[in-house]
Amino acid sequence: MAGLRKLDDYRWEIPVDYKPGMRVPGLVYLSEEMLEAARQDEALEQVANVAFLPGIVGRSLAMPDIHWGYGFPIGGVAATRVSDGVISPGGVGYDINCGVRLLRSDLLESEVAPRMVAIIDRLFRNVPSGVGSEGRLRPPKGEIPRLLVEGARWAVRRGFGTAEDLEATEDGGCVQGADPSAVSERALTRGLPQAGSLGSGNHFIEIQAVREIYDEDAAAVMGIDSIGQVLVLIHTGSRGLGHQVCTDHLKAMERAVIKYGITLPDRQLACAPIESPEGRQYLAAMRCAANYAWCNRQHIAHWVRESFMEVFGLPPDRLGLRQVYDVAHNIAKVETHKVDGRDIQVCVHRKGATRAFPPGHPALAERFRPIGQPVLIPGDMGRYSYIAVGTELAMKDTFGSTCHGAGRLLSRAAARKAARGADVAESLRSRSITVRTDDVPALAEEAPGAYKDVASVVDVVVGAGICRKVARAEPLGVIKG
Amino acid sequence: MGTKQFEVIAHTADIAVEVCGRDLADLLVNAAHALYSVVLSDPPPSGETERIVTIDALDDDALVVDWLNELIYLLDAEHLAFADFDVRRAADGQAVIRCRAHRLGGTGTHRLREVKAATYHMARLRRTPSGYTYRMVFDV
Repeated sequence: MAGLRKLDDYRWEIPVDYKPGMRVPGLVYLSEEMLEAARQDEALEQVANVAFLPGIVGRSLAMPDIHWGYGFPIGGVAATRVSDGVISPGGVGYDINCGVRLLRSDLLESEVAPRMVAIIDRLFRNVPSGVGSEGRLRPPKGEIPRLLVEGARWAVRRGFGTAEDLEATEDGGCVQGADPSAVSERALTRGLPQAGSLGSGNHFIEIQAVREIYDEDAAAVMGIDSIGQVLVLIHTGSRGLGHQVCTDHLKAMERAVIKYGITLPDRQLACAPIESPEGRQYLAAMRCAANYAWCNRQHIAHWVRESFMEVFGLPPDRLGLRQVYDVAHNIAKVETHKVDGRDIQVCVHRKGATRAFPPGHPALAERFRPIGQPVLIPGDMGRYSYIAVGTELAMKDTFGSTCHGAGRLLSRAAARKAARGADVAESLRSRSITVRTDDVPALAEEAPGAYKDVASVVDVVVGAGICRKVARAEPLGVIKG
Repeated sequence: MGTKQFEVIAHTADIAVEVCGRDLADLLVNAAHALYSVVLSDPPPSGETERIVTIDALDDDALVVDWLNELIYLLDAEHLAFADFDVRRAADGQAVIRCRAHRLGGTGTHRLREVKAATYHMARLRRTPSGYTYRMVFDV
């Protein structure tokens, strides 16, 4: 890409005149070492394309886990003015509210490791996973609108979890403004049978042990207090319901682009003014899908707790499986941010990026206000994941956003060429990581070598000041969906 | 690409394909084969269920994506995989295709991968001396 300008050790600017039609510059968070990999595909071009969106403010942003997506790059963040800007379903993606939830426990690695096979097997039985997996939830027809409006609250009301879980979930696990009438019958037909399932691809449940604590005060607020403490990380989203909501509304947006005279460099960026009927309908449906995803993770967390109780024969208070936090990393949110010195309402699209609000932010539950929003950054299944917190600089520079994971390095085909799934499983086993999946060959696609080293990604966001490290955990056992 | 129906091409996060066809109708059929090659263990056998699928898209570029999204929906929601396509109309963003479906389940052809959608990213028909080619990306 011509004209890419280094601002400092962590930030590169794509000038606004890189392509006619860009409304703002692009800004990519990368180290010098990561830049060459990012130049290999279309990801940087996609950052420039996002800058075409009407009403975009600040810059078209990309986090260091950037990789080539469709429309937006994965790792992309864009804020558009609510008053005259657009919303783009491509800026959220098909897996609406794909996200991660972290549970902490009172168990130590030394207690869990000898029973790892039993616990992984039990989780595998209790949480439906894999291609086309059908869920354990069969919501009565009359309850479906409530599920879509209330999200995780609906699950908690029915005995799946606690009020404390909701407090430790972005938006309390229930984003406001969901309207079930905006969700098509097809989305319900496709998605409801999958409610209460993990899915496949890069979705997983991972049992981890804390290896390092960088900020003891923040960790203590999250219930993380010792090396070797066992955690459980759950990664999944809105399954077929979210996929169909995106498909349905993108089709409508294709026509809206013509109706509102919007010029775009990529059809996958199709969008409509936020305040238009098409924009409002999409937002209302997207919020239903987001709530469905929170409901899904709420149930899965419950089954994780049950699985541990069954295997260890311990009551919940001895296991201490309490929720650290739950974040969405594919979502669009209406938020207030300072732009050109004024507080305005913007729609922040985070496509493979995590909200990272600073200490004191009113959107956070009282107990997180002293430390900022917990940020969960999964790595690959062979190395480590990070727990971090949001910062003031993130609020100022990235609309309160940071990275969401490691980011792919190899295509799926290249990953399958590089290693066989059985060899990946064996390599993990040799490092005392138990892995369970229905699809061993597909493990190759999720092999550690297929991803960037998440430590290098975290170094960039921490170096740039858009989050702070709290702890690092390593995998002990993995269920790959 | 000679007589090749389709080819999987490099894409970092997802799966991209290039599909060929003598004409638009042929390309739609080959695009369906490309989809099933990505998601199924084997090509679907001809089945007992007949469906007439009607697509009304903005233009021919979108027609292929919308057709594939219809097949993805029917696979996910009804476990149907299609063979024996009879394209009765394919022009100006519209298509009417009669096809026979095999319902997945039990032994035999099974799903290898979930595809969330066919995307409009890169989706553009290109004329070639022997017909059309079309590139697009599946979100997996």
